[in-house]
Amino acid sequence: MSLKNLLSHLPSVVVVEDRTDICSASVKREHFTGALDELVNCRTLAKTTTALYSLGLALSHLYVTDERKAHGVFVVHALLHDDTAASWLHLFTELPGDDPTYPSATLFIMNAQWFERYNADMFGVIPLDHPDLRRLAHHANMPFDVHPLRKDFLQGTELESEDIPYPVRQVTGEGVHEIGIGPVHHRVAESVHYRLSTTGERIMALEVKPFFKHKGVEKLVEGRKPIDALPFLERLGGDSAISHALAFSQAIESVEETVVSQRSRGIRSFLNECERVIMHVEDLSNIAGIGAGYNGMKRGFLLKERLMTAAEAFCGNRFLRGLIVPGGIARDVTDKEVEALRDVFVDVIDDMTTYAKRALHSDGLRDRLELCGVLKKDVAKVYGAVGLVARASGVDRDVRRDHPYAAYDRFEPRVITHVSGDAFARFKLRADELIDSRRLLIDLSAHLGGGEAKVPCHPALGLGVSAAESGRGEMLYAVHMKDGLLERVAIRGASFSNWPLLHELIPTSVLSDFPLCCRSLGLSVAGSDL
Amino acid sequence: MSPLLRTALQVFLSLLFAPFAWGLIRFLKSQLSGRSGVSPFVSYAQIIAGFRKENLIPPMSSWAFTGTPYVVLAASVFLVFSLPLMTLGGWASPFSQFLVFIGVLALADTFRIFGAIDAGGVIGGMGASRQMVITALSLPTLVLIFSAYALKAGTTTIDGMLMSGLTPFGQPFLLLVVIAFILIALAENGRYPVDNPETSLELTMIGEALTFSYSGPYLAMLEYAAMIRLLVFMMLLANMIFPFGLLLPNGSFQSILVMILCTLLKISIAAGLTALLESTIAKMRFYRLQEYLASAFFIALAGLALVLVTEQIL
Repeated sequence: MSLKNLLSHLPSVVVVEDRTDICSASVKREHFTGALDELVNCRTLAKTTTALYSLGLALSHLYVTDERKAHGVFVVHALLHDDTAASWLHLFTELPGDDPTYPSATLFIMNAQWFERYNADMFGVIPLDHPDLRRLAHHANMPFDVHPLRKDFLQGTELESEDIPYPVRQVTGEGVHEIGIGPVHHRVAESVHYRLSTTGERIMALEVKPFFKHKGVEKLVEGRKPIDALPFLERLGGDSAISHALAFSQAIESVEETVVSQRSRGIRSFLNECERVIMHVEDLSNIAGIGAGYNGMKRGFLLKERLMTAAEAFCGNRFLRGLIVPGGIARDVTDKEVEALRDVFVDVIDDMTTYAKRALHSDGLRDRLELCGVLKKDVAKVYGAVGLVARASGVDRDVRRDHPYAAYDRFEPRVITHVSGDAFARFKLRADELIDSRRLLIDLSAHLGGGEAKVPCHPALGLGVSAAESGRGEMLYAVHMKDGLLERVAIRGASFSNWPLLHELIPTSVLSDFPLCCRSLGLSVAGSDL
Repeated sequence: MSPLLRTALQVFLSLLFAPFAWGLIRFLKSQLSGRSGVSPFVSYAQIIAGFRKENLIPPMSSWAFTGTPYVVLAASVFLVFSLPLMTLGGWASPFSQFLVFIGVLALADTFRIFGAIDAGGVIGGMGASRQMVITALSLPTLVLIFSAYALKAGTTTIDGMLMSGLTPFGQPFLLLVVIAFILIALAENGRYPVDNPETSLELTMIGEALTFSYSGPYLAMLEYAAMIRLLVFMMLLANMIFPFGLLLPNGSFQSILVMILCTLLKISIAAGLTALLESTIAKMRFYRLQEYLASAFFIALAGLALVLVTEQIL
């Protein structure tokens, strides 16, 4: 059953465009939240549709575009993923430019809450009856009523420096101790403010605020050609150049359904796996380092350094930047180069697997990891957790399999899930996924496929959506093109979906487990603070 | 050699070697994790640099904050002055009553806790509450450890205990006592598995949290005091197991050389074992520390019971 059939059960929704990968539908603003609620929570649909949809779709992204110039409206877009048909449902509604409000979806769909707060900050689009509409992405120095992503806000505008305190939720009572940490941390940790309320060692409440260094990349890339925007996007998350470039390039290709060659798809998958391996090695080292001691951590970092040196020899930079472009890959790489890279990665995976095994057999480390930061499956679903974190809690979802891209249709990844959802499960899952990546790297490098490296790809108008699975989870890009230029790039980093999980994991755990919980989620600030 | 001269020599050498012992552990740990590591002598530079830096004092703090570094450092110096670390029967050996030793440790810990709370910092208060748990659970065990020793040796001074020539190889009770002492030494010095002295994660700190609000000379004093305390525990433990290489009242000038070599050897072995331990085990969850410290208590208790039983029989 296609999305179109499903939508026919909702009288308020009008299907505008039905492509193989995206089904676009419009809805009036008063019915927007109702339709979303119906699609996600299946209140009445379950009775009328097949069992396939009885579980409901999940909200992946909720973003806004400013179309006041052309049509005098703001448009709110919701992206829901349909894993059974490997397609995206794009539901949008228009809000008049002088009254950008709509009934909040957060009341029915929990993971809409950060999206709606972000949109309120960036566009001034107000979700009515939102339970917690404090500013999210704006920090204290940002004046009120400044909405940087609106088209009439000019890039480079000098703003007054304000001092508007962020109203942190406070817990009061006898013996409650409030601990504020950050946003300035030791070493090279990213800027996050944590506010913990504790009684003794036990944490009662947590407020996390990762948005302090907003880079404004979404604004920077507007009005550029895709190929010019790519360098900005690759540098968004630091260590996730491949997944950003891949999701973006695929989104651009999906606008006009450009088909890229078999060979470039093979190399893309190969690089995607390489990046996942680097991230997993780093995260495994970090978790072992915090749980057990710096010994395991430094050994792991040494391995990561080998990977990054190999990456530099392969493409001239340590982060695998500049390889993936819309239309294919920037230059064709020889099989020999790929094999050289593969050999280093396979070697390192073998070493890391040995270390991870040793770590898993260490009583002390297991004692720290087990039952630390337990994320239950239903909670993971409600919060919209993505990637490895969700899989460690038993959510069977992996974009590589559910929305096959690059060469993952030819080489299907083994999707591993764990049930316990604690830091131990997340540690073990990373080690397990490394072994699967090893298999994929070997298979992919042997059958890269043929074809030219790059095909022309210059879409003029339309919407493109694509996701790529990074080590942290799904990177989602929605690209609106106009006259061959980027009109709006709506990015949802994997960590944006996983940050709010801390609010669930941390209360009830103890203080000294806090760093371990954070690390085991593998969160990135740069990748979510765009 | 006069007792005064030997005590002076011990104080001088202890103060000199303390940063080296501290740095050696750090150096060996780096080596074990495959890094080249900083030289063990860097800790001297660390102390000197601290004295050259600005001293920031929290505006709301009282004499407890400013007094703490002096008290803690003085306590550590008193320990190297009174305890038989390198010489037996020194000038200050009558001060090496074991209850005095434990009392001075308690005094230093109490002031570290005062200093941390007085600064009004969040992390300091957290570290203070944790340190209180550790101190309260570990010092009673020290009383048991030395009670067992004192019963057997027939003296309450630590100097006299070492003089009696009891070794764990001849006295099984001493083996239990030494094991308990090792566990307590790790806890009292903030080493693994109780605390990670190199951590930079505020929320897991214990010892580091106590000095969180200190800077410049005061921080250097507290660090130096911690280094000296570590050396005291290392040497005491080494002397309990191998009471050789100590400067005796009838010692010649040659024996000074032997003593220095033996001291360095003891420091190296103790540092090597500590580094090995810290590289192989995981830090314990804070809530499991009671189990750890309670085991130390019961091991010491078993040692004491063994002494009492054998005294009755023989």
